Amino acid sequence: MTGLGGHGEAPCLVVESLGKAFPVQGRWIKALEDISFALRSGEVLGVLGPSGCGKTTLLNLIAGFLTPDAGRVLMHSRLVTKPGPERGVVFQEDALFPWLTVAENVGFGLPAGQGSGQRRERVSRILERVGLTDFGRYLPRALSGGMKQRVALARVLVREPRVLLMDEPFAALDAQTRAGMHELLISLQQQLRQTVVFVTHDPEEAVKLADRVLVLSPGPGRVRQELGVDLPRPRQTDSPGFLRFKRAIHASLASG
Amino acid sequence: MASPKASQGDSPKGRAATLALPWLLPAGALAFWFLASATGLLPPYLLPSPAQVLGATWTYVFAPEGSAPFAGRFLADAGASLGRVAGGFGLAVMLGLPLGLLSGRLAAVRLLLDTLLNGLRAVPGIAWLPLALVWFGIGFKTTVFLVALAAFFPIYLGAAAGARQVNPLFPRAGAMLGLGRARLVFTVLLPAAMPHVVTGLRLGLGVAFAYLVLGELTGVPDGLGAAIMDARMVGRVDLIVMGIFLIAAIGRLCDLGLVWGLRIFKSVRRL
Repeated sequence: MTGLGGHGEAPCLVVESLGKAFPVQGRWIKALEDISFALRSGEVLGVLGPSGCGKTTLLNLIAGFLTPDAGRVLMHSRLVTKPGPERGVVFQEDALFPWLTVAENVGFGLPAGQGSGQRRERVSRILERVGLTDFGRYLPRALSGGMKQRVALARVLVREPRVLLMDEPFAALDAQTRAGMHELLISLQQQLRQTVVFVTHDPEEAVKLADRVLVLSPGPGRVRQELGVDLPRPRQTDSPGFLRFKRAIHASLASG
Repeated sequence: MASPKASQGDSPKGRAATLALPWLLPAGALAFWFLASATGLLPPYLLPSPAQVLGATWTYVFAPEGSAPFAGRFLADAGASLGRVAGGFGLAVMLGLPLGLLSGRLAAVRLLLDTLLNGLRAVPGIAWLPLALVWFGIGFKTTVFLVALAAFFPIYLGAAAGARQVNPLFPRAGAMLGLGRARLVFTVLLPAAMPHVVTGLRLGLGVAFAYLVLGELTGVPDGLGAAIMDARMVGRVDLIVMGIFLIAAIGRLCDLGLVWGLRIFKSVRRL
């Protein structure tokens, strides 16, 4: 489960000595320094760290929302310079377009060239996958937080991205809804085999979902520890192996 | 009659209040006007009676042209005025909307435009009138210029405020879903900014009518403002009062039409 190109295949996503600084009150503050990793196709990476360690910046760089000051991001050996549908992003907060219905939000990214019948077909298939078949005509504001994040996932999945980037996508949900979203994400990822990078502050979420975990240290964000989570799936949150990983991550977060 | 019905419950009472309250002050003012005229409290040379104003309106709107002074002028005047408002407001939208959106999104554009525009905004419209007369002469062009100038600022400011407060995740989400810059403007930026844009357009249309009358007071042959001015020259206060009412009514109808017309946009209906 760990390492890159283990079977001789080219990595899907490569991050090379990435660095980024922001101006704060006239001074440049380094948010990230010398971050490197490579992910094989279908691998799931969890990024953990205290707040202010640059987790979101890392995700924004991979998404192409920001340009790195140092290093580079490669996807299938091509340099990432701007956002694109092959790297779908699920944001931390609700970023659905409030003037569009659920179905219109999901169909938003579909190329205009296709016929409307074909578009409807794709939208309803994806809505079924995330369990929102009956909600296509609702406006986002009528939905619960968990349902909104399902729509956010659906509008990205409809473009069939090879990489899925998620910035604490379930942080605002209650524990039960979050567990349901974990199940949904795992089953979708196992069918569609996207490469996933998700940011979280919850060690349990990281161990539950990730093949690999990156723990970042703050100010500037650097890789403090990298763990390969080689637990079989489905993962039991109370198994000894699971608890061992959780403890290791807690210890890593607490150190320094 | 009303009291037993009203005492039956809160809900009908509340509904009656909802229906009656908006008309309470206009009806009261009208009643006062009636009484003040009937008792001679208000002499007709200051404010003619409602009946007299209504009669003048009837002549102005429906009587055949030439049968009396001002008879049948309404359609021609209203048409001329609406044409000037449409021209000036249209110009203001064409300039104010794109410039406002740009200045709301790009700091460089805002820095470039803000000093000049806020300086110009501080100049009252009437101060432009002499210059406009020199530049454009009396007539259509001067009025359109004044209307466009006045309507520009609220439209520009509304668009800029709307563009500035767009959730920063929306453009990112659009770009991530594969949209180019041009499509982002029309499918994300404009809809997200729409509530402020609509407010700016409505304020703009409101001042458009104010400056319409200002422009028409300068000696043009037709238009509602010209009718008021002509009426003053011949001492017909009833026609002046009628003109004020007609401008108020037409302005309100145009505002309703604007709001209704904008409902073709999903973002107007749903935000």
